[in-house]
Amino acid sequence: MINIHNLSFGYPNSPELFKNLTLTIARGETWSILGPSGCGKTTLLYLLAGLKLPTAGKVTINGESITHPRPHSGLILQDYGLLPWSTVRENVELGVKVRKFYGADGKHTPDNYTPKDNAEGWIQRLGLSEAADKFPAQLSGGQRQRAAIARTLVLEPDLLLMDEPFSSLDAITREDLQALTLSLCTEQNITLVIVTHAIEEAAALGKKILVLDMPTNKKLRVFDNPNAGTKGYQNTPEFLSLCRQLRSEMQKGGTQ
Amino acid sequence: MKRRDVFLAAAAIFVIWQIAAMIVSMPILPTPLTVLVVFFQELQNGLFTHFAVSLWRVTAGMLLSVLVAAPAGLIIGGSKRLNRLFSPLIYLLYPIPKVVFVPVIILFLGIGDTSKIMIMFLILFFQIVVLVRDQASGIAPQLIQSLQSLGAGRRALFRFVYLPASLPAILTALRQSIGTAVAVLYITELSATKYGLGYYIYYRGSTLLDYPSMYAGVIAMSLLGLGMYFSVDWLERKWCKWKFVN
Repeated sequence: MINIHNLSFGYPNSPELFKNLTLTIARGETWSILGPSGCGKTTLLYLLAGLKLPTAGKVTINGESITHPRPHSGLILQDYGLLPWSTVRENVELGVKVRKFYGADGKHTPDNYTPKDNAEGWIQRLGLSEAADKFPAQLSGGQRQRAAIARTLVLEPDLLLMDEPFSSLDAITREDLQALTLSLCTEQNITLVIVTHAIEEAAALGKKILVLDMPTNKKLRVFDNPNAGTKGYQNTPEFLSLCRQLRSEMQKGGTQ
Repeated sequence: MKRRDVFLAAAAIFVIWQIAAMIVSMPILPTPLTVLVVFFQELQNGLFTHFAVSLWRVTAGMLLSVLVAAPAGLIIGGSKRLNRLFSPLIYLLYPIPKVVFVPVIILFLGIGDTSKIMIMFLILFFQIVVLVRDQASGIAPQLIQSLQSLGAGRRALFRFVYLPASLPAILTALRQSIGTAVAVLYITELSATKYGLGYYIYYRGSTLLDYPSMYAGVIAMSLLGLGMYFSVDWLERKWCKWKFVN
């Protein structure tokens, strides 16, 4: 369970992004964070990832205060974050190599960690067998994203944080990877928090949708979307109505 | 660089050289054929030893420079604080022509190989440290954050990001340093030694006025540089395969 308690954060010489925000995300939930550019959605993700620290308040995951990246959280960035000098296989194995590098120290690697050579399984599962010996520059956008997902899932995370992961993909590949991400999260009981600026994507993926406004965010607006991820949901009037509502909320927020 | 292109370039140089020698028609510029004959004769007559001594000195100087400057560049480039601290120092020391320190270094380190290697090190260190530092400080923050999210701390970042990301810059620095290193080698071998291509070229040309031998030494020095260029290219193809994919 993720608890955001009285969180405040701002960059120097800029308006504070968040002030006294409180939010709870339960294990296994899928959340979309939606908002215009500059509203702080990526920053919120980084706060959850432990890559940034709140100026006030705190983020706890399973009771543990987040002060640095947590071994059980996975983060996938917009540009995939693959090492250009490593092949797909080496990229997928990277997290395991980092853990072996430190050993089970409880900080970089879980205390009870025993290395597993499950990279090949995830490479196959994500349809990357033929591309396993290729470098990222030789892959399509979809393959790169699959490699990034495989690299994260190899470490068996309980929380997956994604920052606009599908924004540069074509519609078919995007829908395919959205479905794959949801099914993997359900199967592995992973909490998913995905940041997007696309209303349809937020509505298609998040069972809860958090809408952020331009700074300063003092109050969070959360929308329930229980049918997200179900087959054919995106063709229902309910989905379209939610998209209209989210659009109107974003416009309201942007003009505040 | 393809070997065929190198042969073609060498052939072009020989043709121009031949024409120039025919026009000048003086002992100071012998024809390439005369020089090539002398080159092969001299190889069995001590030139190879001079070549080997120079190769050892320049390789040692370059290796020492890379081994010290590359980690220094990585550490400085990987930290904004260290970059702020050391950059002014580097920029102050970099432009000083280190060759002026030759007498001082010989005074401290003696007339052996150590002083010659040290002079090369002093010159190459700054070239390499600046290039590697720039590469390390220019790594995309997303790449670093992505690795941090996988649990990488500072040590793992150096091992898995900064070092491999800077490898092409290290090899580029090495490649750029070859020309300087060979030129410095010549200067350091002008005095306090009886071995090395610098000594050989100077002695044959300025003392014995044996111009064909002098040019044979120049060819040997050129081959020394060429061999080093090929070695760096080979290392790049081996260690930076990702740069050569489509």
